[in-house]
Amino acid sequence: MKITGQVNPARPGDLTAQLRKKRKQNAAIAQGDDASLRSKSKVATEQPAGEHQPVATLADAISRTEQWYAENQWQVFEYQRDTWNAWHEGRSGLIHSPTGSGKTLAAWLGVVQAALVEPKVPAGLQVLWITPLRALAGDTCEQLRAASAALQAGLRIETRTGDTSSTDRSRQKSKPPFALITTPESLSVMLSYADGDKRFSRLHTVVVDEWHELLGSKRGVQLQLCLARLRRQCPGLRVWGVSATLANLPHAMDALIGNGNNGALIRGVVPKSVVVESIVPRDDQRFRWSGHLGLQLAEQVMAVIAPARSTLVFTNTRAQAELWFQGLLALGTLSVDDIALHHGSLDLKLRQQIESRLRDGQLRCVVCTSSLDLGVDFRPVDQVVQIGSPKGVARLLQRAGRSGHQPGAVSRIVCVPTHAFELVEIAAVRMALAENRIEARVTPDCCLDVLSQHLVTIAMGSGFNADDMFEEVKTAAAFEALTKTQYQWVLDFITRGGQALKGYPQYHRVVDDNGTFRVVSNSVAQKHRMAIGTIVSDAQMSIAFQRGKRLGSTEESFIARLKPGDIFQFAGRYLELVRVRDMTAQVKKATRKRATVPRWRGTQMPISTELADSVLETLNGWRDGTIASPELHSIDSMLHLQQQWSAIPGPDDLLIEFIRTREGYSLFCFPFAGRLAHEGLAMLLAYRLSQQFSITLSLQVNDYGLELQCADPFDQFLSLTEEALRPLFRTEHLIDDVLASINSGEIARRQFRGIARIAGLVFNGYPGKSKSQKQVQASSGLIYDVLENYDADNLLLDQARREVLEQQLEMKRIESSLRSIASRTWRIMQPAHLTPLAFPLWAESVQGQTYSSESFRSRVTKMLGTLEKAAQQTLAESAGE
Amino acid sequence: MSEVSSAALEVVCCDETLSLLPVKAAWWAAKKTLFAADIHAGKEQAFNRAGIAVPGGVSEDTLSLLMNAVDHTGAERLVILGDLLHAVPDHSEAWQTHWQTLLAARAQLDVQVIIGNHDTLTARQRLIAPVHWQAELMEPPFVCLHHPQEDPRGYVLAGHIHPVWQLSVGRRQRIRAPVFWFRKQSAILPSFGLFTGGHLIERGKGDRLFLAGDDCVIEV
Repeated sequence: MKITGQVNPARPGDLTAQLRKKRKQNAAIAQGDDASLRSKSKVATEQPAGEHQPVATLADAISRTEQWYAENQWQVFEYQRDTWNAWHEGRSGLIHSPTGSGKTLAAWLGVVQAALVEPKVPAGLQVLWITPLRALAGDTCEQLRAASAALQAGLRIETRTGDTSSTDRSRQKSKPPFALITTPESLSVMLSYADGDKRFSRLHTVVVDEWHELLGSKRGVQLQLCLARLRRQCPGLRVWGVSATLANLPHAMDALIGNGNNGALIRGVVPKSVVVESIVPRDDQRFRWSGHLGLQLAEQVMAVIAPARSTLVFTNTRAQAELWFQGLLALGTLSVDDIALHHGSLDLKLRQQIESRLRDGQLRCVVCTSSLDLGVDFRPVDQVVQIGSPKGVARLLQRAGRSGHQPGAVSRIVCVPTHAFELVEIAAVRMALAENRIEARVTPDCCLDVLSQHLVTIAMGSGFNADDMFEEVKTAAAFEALTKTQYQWVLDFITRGGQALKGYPQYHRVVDDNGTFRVVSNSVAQKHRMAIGTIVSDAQMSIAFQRGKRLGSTEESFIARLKPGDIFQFAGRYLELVRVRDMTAQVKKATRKRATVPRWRGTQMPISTELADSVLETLNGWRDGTIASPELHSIDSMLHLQQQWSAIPGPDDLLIEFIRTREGYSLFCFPFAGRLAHEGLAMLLAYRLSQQFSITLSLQVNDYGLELQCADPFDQFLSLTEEALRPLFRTEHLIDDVLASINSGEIARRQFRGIARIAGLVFNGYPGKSKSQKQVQASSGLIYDVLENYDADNLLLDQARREVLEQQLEMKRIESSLRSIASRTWRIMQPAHLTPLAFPLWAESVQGQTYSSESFRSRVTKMLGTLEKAAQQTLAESAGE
Repeated sequence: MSEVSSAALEVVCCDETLSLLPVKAAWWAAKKTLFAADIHAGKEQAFNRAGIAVPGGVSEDTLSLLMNAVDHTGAERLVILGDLLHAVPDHSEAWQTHWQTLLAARAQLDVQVIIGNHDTLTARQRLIAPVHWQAELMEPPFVCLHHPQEDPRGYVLAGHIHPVWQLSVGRRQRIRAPVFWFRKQSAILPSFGLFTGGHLIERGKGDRLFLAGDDCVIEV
């Protein structure tokens, strides 16, 4: 079988050489290999769409498609034909298939075929193509154009994103293209204009690209609401999604096409097989027990990179990407021109430059983060390296799939551990993959912040009737369970600020105009349009050279910690901070090469349940001697140490270690439930302990377990028996206790940050006008406190707590792990030293939560006492010298 | 007075004794004067006008709290070190009449307000209860200002910064709280308003810091 995407030389024959060449180029673009034709033209700007050469019947249109395939020696996949047929029958659906298998053509050509039957290109906007990344819009546009041109359909296709100029936008309004490629946020903005109804009156198809990326996030929820709107405005609307393989595809489809619609779930080509390899430290290398930046294996990684044509090196964090880029470059094997760095904080232009060099085969190696998880294929890439734990099976597959586009090739991914236990994870991920245990992705439920933003958006556009809107919203899967009470609260929130009896003086955002909800104030409208979107990030600060060349941006909090003259690593360079001016950090090249690595607050993904279970099974297999792998072999001595000092946990054990360290007394517990669930468990245990004792505990978690540390010498803590410990893990009053621990901790306030921004409680100001807006800026933490004190029933607070429970702490996972813990064998150990499992928790440098049932006075007094003692010790030591 | 003494902390500054109160005000018993900074009355209304839903009542509570402190200490004079107001208020805002009532019930109280950067001329004109606005106030040995800066005429008492300090011990223990920041030439009070944020300060050599907790003030 031929793989679509392979471009063979066309046969000499029926067409003129010139046309053949042109078609070949177009075809190459259609298949994603558009390096040859990468033009600098702006895709948003109008371009001649070519001639429209209609055909008589649909059958003719399909045979013209087949002819085009044949000319390029491609084969029409069965699933592509199925998709076209389903589309022609007027159905919606979801296609799932690996990248690079012709999904775009499957979703697009049905539309083109139908247009070919029309004597003239139909007027008005007919198709919306939603892409999760702004950066993908241009590439997609070129693909769709090329296919339209090759089939002589003469369709005008343009993009519209946040980058599109206002001239282009207004032209798109007066003279709409046939198809528009856009992002979920830009779609919301379009719905916020009063002529939204008219704009979409001819719309018959929406295609959502990379739906799996949006599905589990609030952006996906926002899109679900927009789609519900469009379905109502455009009866008969066909909604198609394109997704990678997930464990719960029917759910993914329902979330896309709306509840109760009979969609077609279409399976694409069978995924390429994936080979997981690893780099194992040599016997003589003492491998680190903790950390995640470790460059120890850099030389061995280079040995993998050197013979290959082109390698993508994925890391889990931006900081790690910066370090590894420098580390690999420093080895001197590859020149500066051969290796590049790519992550989300870099300037868009830099990133685009790197992407096109990668496509053109000019780069041997790119060190990147999830920034390159998506997008068109980079054909020259023949292998992928993953630094650190892949965290989940689906993610590993996604990344592995970025290599091996040659026909018959397998995807090869080389995993590189950054500390010893990750070797167990690599062995575990291979096992999970062999058993095809892929994670599911679930859409968030009833996000009232997203709903309130959407309702304001629609109130700005056509306006809405409350009852009709309720029905409409409930057709979105994410709001299937929305109650009338919640909905009424959201209406109150956007019209009065909150419940009727609470005072929100001077507030007006949306007004009820004889049954139609509208936004009347221009300034409210303008502000809202600026704030549309659900991606929450900290205030960003530009980083640029003094002469003005922009390098990218980073969190303001990082720059705030630096002083002029300090050196840091960014964009693969050593930079010296010169000064900060108007939200820009001006830098120059540093002469010294010792630097602080920026620590981005990017979320750390928890290990998936599937992978964590697999890790425990792998450990069990090592213990029983039933699993042997090079990875386990290489850390044999460490695992023996763990066993000797304490114990190796398997799926039927719960390991607890009490260890005395120089900082105090610690309880370590290893449920292997992922860092989020551990955070919840740690809070729950701390809360329940603090009910019994007056105590201050600092909490630390990782993917394997949790640590509760108590600074005071506290004998009872060390001698807790299984009898005393078991009740701490009870499932009775679970929700109440977790809620109580959330309320007294920082975590709900932290979660509220995002909600406040989406719901419009925190306003970041207009670009370049930050000062005049200062009067209405407050941190979300402050607003959280005010709401808690003055409107405790505010449902957004409720949502913050709910989100903490469900997303932050993975409540369901906490509950299931508590149940499983209850039935496990408890092994309570008191090792004399920090064990290999405990050490990474103890050494964690990121500040965890603190939990206290002591008064302010007693906490501060104790802390001062500790400082005092330390100072006296230092004095005594220096006196003794 | 008893409540003041139990939770407050006495500091001697320029040979004068100031009691630092957990409500984030300073009491100068010798002159029967209470100092407070950065009230930001009307802030939630400013947010509401901009379409941001912050509940009302915060300003009223802040002002009541201020008057409670006046009553508990028995102050005859109240000196507000700037930013009594947050934005240009409407006459109709509920806290305006509340403030008026509070002042009317304490007709003997002398209220002096330093003009802060938020107390613009238009804002001041919209305040319905009259107070004495001053660019600065000499209270030897103290000079009362809004912006902290050195002043040859005396030791400066100021606000504006909303200082907050983080006490850290070891790698794990941290506590963050508003702070009275006493420097060589000036003392900066924490912000009094209930709807005000804080700015993390850097401790200079010789600075004395007094953390304000819920129940006490502690020197760190």
